[in-house]
Amino acid sequence: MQAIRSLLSKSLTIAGSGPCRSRPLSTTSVLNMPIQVGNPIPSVDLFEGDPGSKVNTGELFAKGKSVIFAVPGAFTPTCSKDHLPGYLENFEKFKSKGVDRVVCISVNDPFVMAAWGKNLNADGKIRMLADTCGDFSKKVDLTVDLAAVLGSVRSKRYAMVVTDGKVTALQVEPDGTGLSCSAAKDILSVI
Amino acid sequence: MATAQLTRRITTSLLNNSLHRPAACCQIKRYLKIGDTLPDIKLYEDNPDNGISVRDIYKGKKGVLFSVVGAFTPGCTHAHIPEYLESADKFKEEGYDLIGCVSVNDPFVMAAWGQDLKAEGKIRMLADTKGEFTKAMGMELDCSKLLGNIRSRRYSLVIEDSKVHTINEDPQHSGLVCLLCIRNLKTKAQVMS
Repeated sequence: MQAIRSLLSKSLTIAGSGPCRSRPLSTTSVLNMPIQVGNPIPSVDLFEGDPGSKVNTGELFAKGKSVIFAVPGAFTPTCSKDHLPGYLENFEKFKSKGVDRVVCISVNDPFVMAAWGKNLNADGKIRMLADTCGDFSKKVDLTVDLAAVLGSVRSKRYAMVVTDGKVTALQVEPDGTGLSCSAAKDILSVI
Repeated sequence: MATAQLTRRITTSLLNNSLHRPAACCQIKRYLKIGDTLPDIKLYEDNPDNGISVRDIYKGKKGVLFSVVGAFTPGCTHAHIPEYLESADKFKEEGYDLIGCVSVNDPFVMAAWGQDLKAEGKIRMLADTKGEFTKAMGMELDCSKLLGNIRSRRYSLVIEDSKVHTINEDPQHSGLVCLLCIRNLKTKAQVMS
């Protein structure tokens, strides 16, 4: 990856009408792709409970084994009836496999996230972290445009295992919103 | 001379826009006034497929529509909406057919909040999902940093057969002062006159 970045950062001649000009090709836009296994987890502030309570992902996931599952929306049907409850039911199984924390991330405000967690009895088990402005979801490039139905760009549905700050497993729903590979049982089998 | 006048008019218009004060010709489109008919904009109840024009919701009815900054936010949850819940029967006695609560939230969140508050049968929870109604009202409140998007300032309307009868607006225009009761507010009509 480093070698490719270094190659692309050198000036490239871009052909076009008129005299040839050297223009540096932006590596960021070319290589801005979704987070992958082996990548470090980015350092972004999420919010727990209220807008004043920051939780930095770089710090939270730096040590130990973490399971993250991301959902398109708090209180939406699939997220509420299947996705989150699955992680709650299997919480002890995750612990027995050495998982230190199970975290749910969604692009919602922290009050809504906290209320959702309380509503599903997740307190004390799953940490409900609000990606209020979508910064984390954009950073890992796992977003889905749900403006038409939910009012904003949201997170894709996925599940991720992070070990000592690095992504060691990642399962992203192909359509971004279904539930075919990111359920608790799917991630348990790869830990 | 004509050029100087034209320049002055353009400058004044630009100045008005930059100070976020709509020019007189824009006021009718941007703000509802007493006597105006509600815009034909959909609000969503329970889910994204259940969109109903706010004009139709209040057609042939006498009702209240009040806005909140956000579902599940402390002020809205513990002080603002309970006041309406407790007064729901009184509103009925006074001939009001419905009380609607509007917020820039998605309909799943609004429905869940209504359930949590046991608002069924008392207050209709109406989601202004994309903030279109709030924009038409001219009541945007930038809560991007704290809540992630543009929300609504606090106001309430008394509506009769889809026409605005009274407008009550948070006097500090901040949406952060909790409205305790519709009757405690200065009406916009008084403020404007």
